[in-house]
Amino acid sequence: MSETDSGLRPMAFAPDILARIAPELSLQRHLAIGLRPSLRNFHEFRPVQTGDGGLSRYTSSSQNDSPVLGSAVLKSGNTTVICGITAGIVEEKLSEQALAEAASVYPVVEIARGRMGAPTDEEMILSQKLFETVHHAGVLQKAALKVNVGIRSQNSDGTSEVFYPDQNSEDDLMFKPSREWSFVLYAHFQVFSREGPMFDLCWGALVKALQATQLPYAYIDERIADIKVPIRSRGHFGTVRENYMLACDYARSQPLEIAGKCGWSSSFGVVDAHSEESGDMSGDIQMDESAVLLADLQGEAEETNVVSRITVVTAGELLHNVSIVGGGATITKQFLKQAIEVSRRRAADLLA
Amino acid sequence: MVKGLEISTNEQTFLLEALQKGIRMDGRKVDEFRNVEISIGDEYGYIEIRMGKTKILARVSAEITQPFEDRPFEGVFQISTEVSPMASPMFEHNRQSSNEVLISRLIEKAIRRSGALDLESLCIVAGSKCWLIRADLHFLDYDGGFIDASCIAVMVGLSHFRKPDISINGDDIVVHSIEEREPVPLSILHMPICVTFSFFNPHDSEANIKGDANEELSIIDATLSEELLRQGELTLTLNKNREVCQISKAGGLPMDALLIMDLAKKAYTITERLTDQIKAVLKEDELKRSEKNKLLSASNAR
Amino acid sequence: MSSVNTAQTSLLNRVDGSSQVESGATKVLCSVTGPIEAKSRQELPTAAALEIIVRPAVGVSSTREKLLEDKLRSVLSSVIVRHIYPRQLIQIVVQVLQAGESAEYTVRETAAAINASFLALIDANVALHTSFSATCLAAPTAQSPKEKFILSPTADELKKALSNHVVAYSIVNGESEKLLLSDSNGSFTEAQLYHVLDVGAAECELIHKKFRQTAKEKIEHDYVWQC
Repeated sequence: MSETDSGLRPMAFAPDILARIAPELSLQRHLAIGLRPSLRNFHEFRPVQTGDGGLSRYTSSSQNDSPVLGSAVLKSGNTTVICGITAGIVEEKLSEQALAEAASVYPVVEIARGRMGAPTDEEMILSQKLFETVHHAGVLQKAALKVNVGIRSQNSDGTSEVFYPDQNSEDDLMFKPSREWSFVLYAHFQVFSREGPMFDLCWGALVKALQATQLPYAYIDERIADIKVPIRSRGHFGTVRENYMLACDYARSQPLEIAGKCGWSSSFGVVDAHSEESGDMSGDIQMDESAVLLADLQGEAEETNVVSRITVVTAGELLHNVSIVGGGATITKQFLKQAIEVSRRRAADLLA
Repeated sequence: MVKGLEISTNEQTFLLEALQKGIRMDGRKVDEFRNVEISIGDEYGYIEIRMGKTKILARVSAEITQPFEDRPFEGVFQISTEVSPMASPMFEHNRQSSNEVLISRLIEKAIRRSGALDLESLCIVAGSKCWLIRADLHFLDYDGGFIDASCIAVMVGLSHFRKPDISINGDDIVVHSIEEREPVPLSILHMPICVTFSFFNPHDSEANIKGDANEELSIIDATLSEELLRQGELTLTLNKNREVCQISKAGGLPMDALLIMDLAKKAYTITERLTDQIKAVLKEDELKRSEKNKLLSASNAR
Repeated sequence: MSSVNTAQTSLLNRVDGSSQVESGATKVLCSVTGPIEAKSRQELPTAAALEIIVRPAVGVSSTREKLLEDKLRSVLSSVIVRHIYPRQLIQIVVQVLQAGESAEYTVRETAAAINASFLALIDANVALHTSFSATCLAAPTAQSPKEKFILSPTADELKKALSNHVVAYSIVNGESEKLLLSDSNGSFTEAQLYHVLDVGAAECELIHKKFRQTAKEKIEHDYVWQC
């Protein structure tokens, strides 16, 4: 702010400083010359690289006993998303009808922001949105999460062997366990260097991680398959069934079955590009404005000023999720059509 | 609208002077409980309570869960009392004020700890399956008397609620839908009713501590403005069997010990009247439902 | 007839505006307080801050309600004339009384919450840029013919449907003008999406007609002393 020569002169700022003090102005100046603050074209996405995270016990080269069953890493611009899938087991007996119902994963998104603390609203909203989209898309069915339970039996010579219903004939199985178990899948996300809305990247990482997920087989010991433990409490007697003797057989596993296509998510913003900066933000509609569709929002200037948003999850001809927020510039059907078309092409490219 | 609630000095003096003459703003007598309107919704356990301008909604629901490890033969009963700014902007979201803590603790003591709901009857398979009964209280509008009203709401809700019938077949538990089998009521052991008394000191505080003249005023079922001005409160919980379930006096104005007996007597008449009213409302609702069922079964030519 | 059965206003005493909207098996109560003093961490220098709270009928608030709050916020922050209440707070509480759908779905509650907040904001005399209303739809199959869309589907219909949608429009002169919110989940085609937007726009107009009536009655009631 040092003013060496006196007298008035117009203030000039470097682009990054202007972007901080007047994001709206900075954005409009960029749009006017057909560019965005990130110097990308209007419909240009940041390139996305995906990789296997190497966290999973099934893919990592070294022998490890990590609880992660599938993982993925996704990079786009400066942002990195790491997704790891873990699982828990619950006992539940499902009818034929219930097995066909849609299941989901329970995502926990953590966006690194340099300090610890309770999850922010953005993290919670993102987690819930991922959960709902997976659930409604119907790509996971409860049947796919059923635990393949075998029985370990002791041979007369003291060695033990595990029999699985899908690998051994009925005769080999002395008896089938009467109880059934299901996996509950959790997806943990770590996001580093967040630069814009995160749904696209998280969805991509989740899909890749689910595709890489292997579910272990599990077995119970023949002798404790139906054990009952007597209990006594305040004059009452009863028996409690032991719950915990289910062991996972990490040597055997099967890939997680995904029904249909998960697709890819692309998001857009729609913003009015003023032909001349009016400086009036009160929302008066001026007719000389023309709105533009911006792909893959990035940076503060775009995030704060582009209020109208479109997010599309495309899976081939079908759509799994379309969310439109139209608070700012009017989202017309043309924009929607354009957005869907661009995201289809992008999905085809990325998933090819 | 202002966020906090404050009463001007003029209004304060007016209210207190009127109270000394036995007159209350809403025309009630000092020991008169507000008229309680109970309305029952279509679903089981959906209860709306109105006391003057105070409005509370109770929703009772049930699900199957695992019992606590140290109590394998008992079901689980939870009451959730979270006050949102809907009741009044003075309640902050996600931050429990001491007032809210007091409300939830008192309701907990009055209903859960007094054993109003028979928890052992909620056991399905010892140690592994039991019913979880939830009572969600939604405070919609606040004009005093949250404790008294919510106690009524929970008790009507519990008495009205029906949990789905189950049958146990070896290791399998079959939950029958409401259409399939008549749902079963909960086992309610007694019906506690809370009555809150508020105390006012007509003289300065010293006169009272010296204990010469115990002239404190006591009123039943204070409205919000009376609650804001009161110097002490006492909540008595009784049931129709003339049993005291809970007494709570959390500091405030000291009062004559003998007064409690007197107040308990007053509270008992209110308890008796309210219990009868609740029973009558429940009976009326049951009649309505059975008539509906009759109509349905008549049209079904089975 | 619109899918909203009853709409009432001015039901609560301690807040500035309140409304209750019942649509099929879904019933929500909404209260609005504001503009009031904002806490310093909420305060915005040039516009009113919005505190939006959605509370479930049964159980405690979870991420499900957070997402609902986010959708409601995306609609309300653009329709409320926020710059005339700088450094102040508008508090909107939506209490779901009856969800009318299972926990996996939020479409019925979202539509009802948007509708109820419109009436409550009017009741609280908060300045709005435009009227708005919302509705929800379900498509039973992925390629269903156009007639097969279910407006305001019941809990069972939602469960069987392949896709579910919420649509909110701003209303100008009784006609749907601008798409404020649309959230579609499940499996559906592009053509279905456009159809959903059209059907939703028509339904939003019908719902708005009902709300105009409610608002008219409210004003007649409020100004009864003038006659």
